[in-house]
Amino acid sequence: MITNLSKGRPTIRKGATAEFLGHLWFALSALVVVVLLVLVYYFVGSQSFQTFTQSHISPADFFLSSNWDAQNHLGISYFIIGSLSLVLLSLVFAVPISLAVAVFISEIAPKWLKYPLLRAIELFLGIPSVIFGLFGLIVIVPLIRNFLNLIAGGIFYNGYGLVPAAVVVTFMILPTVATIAYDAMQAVPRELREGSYALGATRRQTISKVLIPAAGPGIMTGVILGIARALGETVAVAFVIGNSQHLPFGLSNYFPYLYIGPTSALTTQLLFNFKEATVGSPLYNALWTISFVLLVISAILVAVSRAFAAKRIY
Amino acid sequence: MRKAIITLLSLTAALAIAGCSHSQTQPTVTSTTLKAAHVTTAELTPAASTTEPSVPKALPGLKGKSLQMDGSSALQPFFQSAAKYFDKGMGTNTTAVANGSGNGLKDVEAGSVQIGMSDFFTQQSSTPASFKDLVDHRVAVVAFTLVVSKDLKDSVWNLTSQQIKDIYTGKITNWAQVGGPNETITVVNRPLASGTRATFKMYVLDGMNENAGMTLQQDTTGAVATAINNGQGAIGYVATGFVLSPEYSDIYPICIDGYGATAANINAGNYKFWSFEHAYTKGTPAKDGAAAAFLNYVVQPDVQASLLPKLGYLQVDQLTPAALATHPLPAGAN
Repeated sequence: MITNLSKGRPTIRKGATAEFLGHLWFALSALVVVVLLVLVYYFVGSQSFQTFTQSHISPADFFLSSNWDAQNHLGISYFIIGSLSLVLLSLVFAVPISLAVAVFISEIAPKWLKYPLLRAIELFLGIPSVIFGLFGLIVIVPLIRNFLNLIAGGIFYNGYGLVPAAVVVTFMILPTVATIAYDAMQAVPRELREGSYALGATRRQTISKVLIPAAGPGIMTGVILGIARALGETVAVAFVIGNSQHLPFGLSNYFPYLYIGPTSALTTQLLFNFKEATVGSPLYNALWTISFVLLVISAILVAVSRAFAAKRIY
Repeated sequence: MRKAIITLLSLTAALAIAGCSHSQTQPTVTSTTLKAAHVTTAELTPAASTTEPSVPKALPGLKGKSLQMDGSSALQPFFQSAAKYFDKGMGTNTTAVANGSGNGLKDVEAGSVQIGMSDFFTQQSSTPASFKDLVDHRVAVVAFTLVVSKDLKDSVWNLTSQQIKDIYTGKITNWAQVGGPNETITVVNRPLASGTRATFKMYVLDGMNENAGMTLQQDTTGAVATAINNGQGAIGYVATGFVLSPEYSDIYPICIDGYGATAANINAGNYKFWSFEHAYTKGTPAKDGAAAAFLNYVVQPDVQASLLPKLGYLQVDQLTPAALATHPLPAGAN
């Protein structure tokens, strides 16, 4: 656009070369992003198919089996279930809290409290995930262990598993979802709220019937970004999830008769095994396939988030 | 009462010297004596030497040369400390990084490092064919031991091979089944690709696949030790050097079939849970090169005697034929 404008000028302006170089820099940078993205997908994708071509593991076996211990029996179904249930449980914890935080800051908090709260959330957002992992390991895991053993009346649980992992992930996605939900609520025009009040609605009715539906698509964008983070989080989760080859839930012999114990996510298996896996081994190839599965799920999430963003009115 | 305590104490002292009892069943003794029946840390490793290794005499043409190594995090501390003295004498520039055995072997085969450090024979890896050019140098012996958490220290001090297999395959899930308290067993394992896990599977589980209930996986031996140190009802395996570390004061080594991870038991052929540490080179290293000089240096008796015991490792040349017989070389090993 801008180049077209400068083309239309009859004389060469002073600084035209600098401008051209500037544009070149911008264009090249944009190109680098695209090239990198294509390269990542191509590289991970091509590696990942070697599980099926070079290591001769059937796709059905790989995605549906849970056997992750023999050379040619590498099934990731438990890890997929682990990752997905981690995402779900984190959302169950995080979404109500972050929505409440967003509503409070946007609608209820007095002005003097609003800005300190916003800054606090920003600070929260910047905490490195490994710190949450350590916190989970030292505080959350013993807490859950002691609680479960107390109600079960014996030492039956070690505290690791889906619950502490979801708590840790909740800490991480809460500020993301809350800030985006807050922004979406702020974008809802004043007239809508005033219209609602003019019709005699209370504040509670205005929030639940007008504000949240109007800000809905924006809130969903935040939730989906939260899902992407929950899915991709590795280090913090690895501290507390236990990384075992088990379903995240099940039945047990002890009160509360629910297996609440170690499980594994896709990312943590990748983290733990990659260093030691030898190139070309079935395990090595399987780890690449896990990476590709993560890429595909994240791409789907971005697409869904775009679809919601497109629905945004405000 | 007083007399009883004195008797108990003397019994304790006697058992502490004896270490593990060699009986397969657990005798009914009081908790005080049982505690002493654990392998003591002093028994596990030879006394650490205080002498420094000799600095090698400079060889012509090595000054300023660089020597790169990558691989096992178990072997890296030994090579790193040996490299300090080696570099001082030779004027070389040695770097040892620990990216795991698999990466070390990959790097040395690709020629990006001169020495690949590994916990296992390339023949035991899942892709032996991709390491066909590598030449093995066995430079140390690392002994591993099963350890349990604090709450078990008075009741579980010995497990039979069969009990260990049952625990790791999920047949036994409560410590009460092996004479311990009524607590769920938490198994702390290493990831699938770990060299230590491969050693455990081969020499303790006889190749059986692990499938325990409450399993935790930790990606390093240090993380395993931490999990057991802070855990309840936990069992796992670590290199014996970790038991000596003050950082992990609450992990308790136990015996396998009545034998602790001591040099004496290994050399008598009674304790099989140990492995060689390997330095791999691509082909035979050039005689006048840095890699050959370094590999000659690290097997010198004074270097081995001064650096290995600090890590809790044993010297390869001190293994008896009885010990070697428990670890037959894999086919094709050199």
